[in-house]
Amino acid sequence: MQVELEALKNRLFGDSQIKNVKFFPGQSSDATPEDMAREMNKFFADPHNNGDDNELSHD
Amino acid sequence: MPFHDLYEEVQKQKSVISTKWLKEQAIALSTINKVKEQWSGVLDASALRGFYIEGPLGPPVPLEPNECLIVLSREMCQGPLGAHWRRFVYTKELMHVFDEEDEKASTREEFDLQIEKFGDPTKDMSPQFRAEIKALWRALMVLCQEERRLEYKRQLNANEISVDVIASALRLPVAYARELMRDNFEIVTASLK
Repeated sequence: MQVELEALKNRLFGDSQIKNVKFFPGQSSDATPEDMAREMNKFFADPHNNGDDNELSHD
Repeated sequence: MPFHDLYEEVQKQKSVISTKWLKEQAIALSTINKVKEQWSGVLDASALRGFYIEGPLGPPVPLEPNECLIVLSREMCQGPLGAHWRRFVYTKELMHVFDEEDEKASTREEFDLQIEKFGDPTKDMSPQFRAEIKALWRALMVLCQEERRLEYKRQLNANEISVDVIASALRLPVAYARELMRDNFEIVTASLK
């Protein structure tokens, strides 16, 4: 049961209708698509996210 | 062709390419008119270094159509050589402003084909996953002028420099500076210009 992937798809393609999504996987060769989706779900659930750009770099 | 225009502008730059400049160029040359960036404290970089979304998108980071969001793992950005990782991951995601319409993942089915291949390389290729690979190589192409890359290659072949020093000079992760020095870099990237 791919709980994280289904929740993410509901957010991206149900609640919203995004036009594109792309990923940069982590260094762990054991990370699965479910793990990647979990990280994105954690991001969307973060109550401290006020929607602003942060840590802008000019580098 | 928008990416080609960016590539040509990169060749005219005299110093190390800045991601701020790349963002300004990407907005000017693509249909995207805003690029938001966030460093997230909850993203575990061992699983996901970053991601890109093109709106429309609801809260907590609302996006209008033709706006995009690049999220990076703060742990990665503030970790060892964090600035170098930030430069490369950000730039790879930024290259997706140049995705063709058939390369964009806008349905559940396209999303499934694309993300599943990260976990199982034997799964079918899709235009969406191919765009992931294209963006990686395009990021390398725009983070170092070709003339500079060839000079570094010459020095590397003459044992006058190491890949680690090249990486430091370009402010890139060593693994990706190594890709920049591949013998077949020109062949691999010829069709991406």
